[in-house]
Amino acid sequence: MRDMIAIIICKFARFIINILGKNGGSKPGDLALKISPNILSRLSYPKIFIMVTGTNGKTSTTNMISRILSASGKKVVTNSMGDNLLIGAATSILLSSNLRGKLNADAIVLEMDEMVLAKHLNDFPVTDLLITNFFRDQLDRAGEMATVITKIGDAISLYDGRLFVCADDPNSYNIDHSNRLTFGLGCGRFSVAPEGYKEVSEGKFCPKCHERLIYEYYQYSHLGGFKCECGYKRIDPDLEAIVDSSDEFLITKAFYGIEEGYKFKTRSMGLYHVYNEISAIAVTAFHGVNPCVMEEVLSNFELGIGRMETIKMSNGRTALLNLVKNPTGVNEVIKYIVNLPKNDNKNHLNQTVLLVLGDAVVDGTDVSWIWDADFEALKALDLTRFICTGKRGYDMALRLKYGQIGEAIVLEDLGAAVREFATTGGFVLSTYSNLFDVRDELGGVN
Amino acid sequence: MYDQVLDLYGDRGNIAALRYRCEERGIDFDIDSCDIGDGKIDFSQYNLIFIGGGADYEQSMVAKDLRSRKMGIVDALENGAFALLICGGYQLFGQYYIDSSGNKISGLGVFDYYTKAAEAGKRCIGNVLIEAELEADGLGATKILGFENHGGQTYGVENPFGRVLYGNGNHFEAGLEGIMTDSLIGTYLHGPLLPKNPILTDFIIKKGLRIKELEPLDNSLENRAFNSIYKALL
Repeated sequence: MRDMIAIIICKFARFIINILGKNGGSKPGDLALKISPNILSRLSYPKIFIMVTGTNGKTSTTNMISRILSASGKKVVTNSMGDNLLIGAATSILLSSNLRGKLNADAIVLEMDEMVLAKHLNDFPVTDLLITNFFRDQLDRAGEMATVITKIGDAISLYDGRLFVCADDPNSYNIDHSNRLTFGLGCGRFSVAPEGYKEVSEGKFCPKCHERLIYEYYQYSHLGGFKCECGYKRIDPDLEAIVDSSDEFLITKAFYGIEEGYKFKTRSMGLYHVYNEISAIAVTAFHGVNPCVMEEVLSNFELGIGRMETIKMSNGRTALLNLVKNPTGVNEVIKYIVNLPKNDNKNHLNQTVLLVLGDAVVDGTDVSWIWDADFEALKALDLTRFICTGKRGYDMALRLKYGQIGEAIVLEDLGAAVREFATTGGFVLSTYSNLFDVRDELGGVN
Repeated sequence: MYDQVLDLYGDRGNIAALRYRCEERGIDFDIDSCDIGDGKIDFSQYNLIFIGGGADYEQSMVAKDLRSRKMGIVDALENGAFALLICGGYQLFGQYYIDSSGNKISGLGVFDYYTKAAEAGKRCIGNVLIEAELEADGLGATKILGFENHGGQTYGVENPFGRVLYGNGNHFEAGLEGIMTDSLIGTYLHGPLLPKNPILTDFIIKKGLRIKELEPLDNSLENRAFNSIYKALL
């Protein structure tokens, strides 16, 4: 009875929030869990239950998997907005449940925050767990990365579903499981030789013996062909792709219905995007989806809110909006911006970079990570202006000052910062807590 | 030292702040790094020594190498060099550190203080405001702002760096933060520490160069950054 009331409240809350035209997010699930704290363990779930965790690429990969499964004819429940704490998952789940607690779906695909997953993995009948990668992220909430991995490893030791991990990431590849499938990228045109490579932060040391890892090549950050003197090394994964052109990649050996040599069209978003694609392919291929269906979805895949999102402002100027939350994410976005084709780049001359830095819990209350990101790479652009805002806008301005990158205008009021930005347009990098407000402001520019 | 290993929490921002504030004044700023297994280094040739923080196992890797360099470092500090030690570097100058798995890592033993990891999963995390007597000439206390994130609980410090006005400090609700002597500051404050605290940065530069005065710089952005967080903490 309590569960039924919780479900009704959840649905009613969403209904009210919709009427008010607000971005309700995870409030309905929050209310439901307050009424019936253990409701999620008593629902009847569909046969396919996929969870996606890891540092980077969770939201995009979750969306790819759920859209591919939908395109293959399955009814899918997902938390596609990046609401990856328990209350966000609860919102998605309960809204698609009937009043008796049965989900009306063939598959459920949930993005999960790493620490939430470590605590709750075995509360759900998960059939497939995908770990995208482990990077330095939000250390203040989780302690050091090693602690996060240990906690997730502990949860996985009690887990009896399938595990998908990236063979190129020494941090997550070290998590063993009797029912494990691996994916990764082979050395290709965009791989980088180790000499002079500066991007690695986390993952320099062997997680088994703590000696320094040796790399034959890097893909990005610490992902690549690693090995250690102790014998721990990347082994060719079950599903491997090689990227030799910016718009397609090739599968190197057969994997669940995908033939060796199959070429997938991709959108040129960089290798980190291909990692999301290959992991989504691994999971959906296992569930019998035809590669043509995957390709159709992936080649038309629009990244989510704040992922390479182009916003046309009403004054005719454009903004390229990106959510950033850790050094690797910033590095990849900046690499993309700096490497835009010359023609495009010319359009971006005399433009502005708007940096929005918050320190809410979802952002990570410790903003020191901005010092580990390579903002210096922005010097390659002929930008004339930096504007900083958000609660930690001044920290960002100091990062630019002491990094000798540029002098920033700091505007404490978000609306004022966006209006100033809009006079030229350009690039926007924002942490999560401000993302939706920034987006609304960009949409409302006159 | 050990910048490839002890590089957590943006501590490299401290080096950027020291560099910027030296170079703006025409003071040459050369930096050498000392890694595990490097040959003997003549520390007496340097004005400043910096050691940051790392995760538990990175710290244990560093400890042995650091102990082998103890004499050189202590001599340099006695002869006018100044050291800034953050988090792990600070802990390693004490007697020992017992990490979260119960391993005991011997420190340099320069001081009597010692550190033990808090009980499982507990860490001091959050913004910290302290007040430190940077100048002995009675100019009053300087407020310093940072961010702490440490499981290690340090006890037995005789000369703390500052009084805690907000946050924890050396251990949960310690009230006192870090260590300060004539030749070094050890602290748990990340942030990174120096960019938002220009008076402290200049204090360290003066100590390293053994001078009393530095040409003033425009600190308005730093002060605004400081005040925006300071106000939120009150």
